Amino acid sequence: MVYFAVQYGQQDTGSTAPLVGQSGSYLSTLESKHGALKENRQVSPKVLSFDFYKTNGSVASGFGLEVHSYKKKYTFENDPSQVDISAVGFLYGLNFYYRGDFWFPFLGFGTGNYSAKVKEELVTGNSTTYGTVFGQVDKPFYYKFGVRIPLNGLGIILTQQYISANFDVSTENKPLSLGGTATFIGLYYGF
Amino acid sequence: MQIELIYCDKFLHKLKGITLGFIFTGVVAKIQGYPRYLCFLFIYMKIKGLFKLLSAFIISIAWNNSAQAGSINSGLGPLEIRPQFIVSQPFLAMTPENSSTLKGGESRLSVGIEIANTFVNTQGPTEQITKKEVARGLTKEDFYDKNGDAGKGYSLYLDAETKRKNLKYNYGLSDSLEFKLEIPFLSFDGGFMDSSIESVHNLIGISNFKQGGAYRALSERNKYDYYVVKDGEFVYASNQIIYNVRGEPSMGLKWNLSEGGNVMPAVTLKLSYKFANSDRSGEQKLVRSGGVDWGHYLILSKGFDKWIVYFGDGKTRIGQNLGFASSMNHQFMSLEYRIEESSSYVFQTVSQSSIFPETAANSRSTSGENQEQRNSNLSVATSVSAFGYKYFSGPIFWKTGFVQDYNNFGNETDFVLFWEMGVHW
Repeated sequence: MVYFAVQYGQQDTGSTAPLVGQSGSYLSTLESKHGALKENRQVSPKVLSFDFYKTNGSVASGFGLEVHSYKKKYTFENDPSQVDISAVGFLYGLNFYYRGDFWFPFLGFGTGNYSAKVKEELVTGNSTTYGTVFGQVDKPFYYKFGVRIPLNGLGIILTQQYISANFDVSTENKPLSLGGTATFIGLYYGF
Repeated sequence: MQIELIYCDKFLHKLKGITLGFIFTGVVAKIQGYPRYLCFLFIYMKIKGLFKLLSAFIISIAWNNSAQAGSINSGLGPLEIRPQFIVSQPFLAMTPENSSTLKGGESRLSVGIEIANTFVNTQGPTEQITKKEVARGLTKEDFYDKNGDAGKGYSLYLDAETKRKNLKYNYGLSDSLEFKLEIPFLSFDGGFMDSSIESVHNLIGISNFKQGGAYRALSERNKYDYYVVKDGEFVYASNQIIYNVRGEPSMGLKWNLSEGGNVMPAVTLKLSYKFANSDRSGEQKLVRSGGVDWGHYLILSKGFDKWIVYFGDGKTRIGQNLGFASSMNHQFMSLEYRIEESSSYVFQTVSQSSIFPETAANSRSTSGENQEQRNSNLSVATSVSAFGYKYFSGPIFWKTGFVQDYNNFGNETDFVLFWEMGVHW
C-alpha cells in the first residue's frame, strides 16, 4: 500500500519537543539587544509526504518520506532590525499502523536533514550590520502520531509531530530551533 | 550463434611513452537458442608505437543464468556513487552500498563513469569575475574583496566537468565478507552540460544571473577553469584540461554482520582504505592527495515487500588534507523499489560535511554582504538526491542514473550523470 499526502498546519518553533528537543537561544539573544519579537514563533509549514507499508493482519509497518517547507520574518520592538528565516526539511523514518474498520491510527519516528537560510539586517544606533548564514541540520529527530480516515481511495490525515532540529547560526554562535511542536491536517490518496 | 549485443570500453593510462590499460568486452549471444554471456578483459600495452597485446582472455566464461542478489532485507542495493565535487576528487569518500555481500568465491568486475558538472563563482555577486577576466587569465587579486583586501577563508571559481572512470573488482572472501579493489582515472574538462543546465534553470524560473543559477550567465559555456583561493593565495589554479590521469587506488572490506529478519534490519560494516601515491607532479596534484585515507560506513537495510530501505552513517578520515577538512561525515538514505527480481528503481539522498573547514571569517558586515558572508556557505554540510535504475541480466549488471544537489550551497556538484556495467560470476 502506498500513500501520497498533502498537509498544512501550525508549528510552534518556540516549543521544545518533549523528551528529544533542545531550546534554541539565537532569537532570544537578539531579543536582548533589539527588544522583544513582534511576531510569535509559529510558522506554517507545507508538508508533502509519501508512505508505503506492508500489512500483517490488522497491523502494518512501513516507511515514509516527508518534505516540510516554511518561511518566517521576525521584527523587533526597539529598532527596525529584522531576520528572515527559510527552512526546508527532508525527513524520513519508520511508521506503524493499526488498520481499524473506519480509521487507521499510526505512529512513527525518524531523521533526515533540514536546510536553512538566515538573513539578518540588524540595526544598532546609526549602524546596520548584514549577515547571511546558510546551513544544514544533519541529524534532526522526529516522532509523530496521528490518524488516517479513509474515504475510498482518498482520505483525511491528522498528524501531531514533534521535531528536534537545532541549527547553529554562526553570526551569534547560537542555536536556532527549526523544529518544535506541530499539528497538521491534510488529504491523502492511497493505492 | 546469434550475437545480440557487444559492449566494449577501455581504460588507458599514458606514462613516459608507454600506454598501459585494460579493454573490457562483453558479448550477449544466443547459442542454439539459449542466451550466453561472454566477458573478456584484455590487458593492453603500447610502447612508443609498437603495439603489443600482452594478455588477453582473462575471462571467457559462458553462463546460462546467475542468482540475483537479494534477501528480504536487501535487493540490488543503493546507488554506489561517491561525492563528485571537484575539490574532493583526490580524497577517499565513502559510497553507499548494499548491505548484502557476494557469496564466498563469487567475483564481480565492472567499469563505470561518473560525469559531474560543477559551477561555482564566489565573486559572482560583485561581478568581479566574468567572461572578460577569465579570458584574460585569473589572478589572485580577482578574488580579493571590493576594497582590494585578501579575505580570510575560501574563494572559488569552478567551471568544470569531471569524468571519473572506475575499474572495480569485488570478491566474496566468505558468504558474509567481501573484498573490493578500485582504480579511478580522472579527466577534467569543459564538458557539454552547461547549456542544458542553463536551459533547465530558465524553464523552472531560476535566473542564471543570480545566486540560484550560480551566476552561470557571467561565464562562457563548456569551458574549464579550476581556481581555489585560500586566505588570498591560490591552492589550485588550472585551466589546462586533463585526460585519464590515474588517481590513487583504494580497497575495501564489507562485513555483513546480520541479514536481519522480519523485524530486525540487516546490518553491515564497510571499511575503505585509499593508498598513497606521493607522485603529485604536474596535473597529478589535481587528482592525488599523496596521503592515506580511510573510512567506514555502518549500513542498515529493511525490506517491506517490494520496497527496501537502506540507511548509512559513516566517516572518511583524510590523511594528507592539503589544508582542507581532515574528515568528512556521510549519511545516506536509499529507497529501492524492486520492479522485478532483476531490476529496481532507486531514489537516494546523501548528506555530507564539507571539504572546506570552518574559517575565522566574520559572517557579519556593516557594508552589505561581504565576501566572507558569500563564502560562509562553503563550510556547511550539504545534500544531494539521486535517482537511478539497476538491472541484472544473468551475470551482466548495469546501472545508470543522475544526481542533483538541492540546497545550492556552492560546495557541491550541480548535476551528475553516472553509468556502470559489469559482470558477476
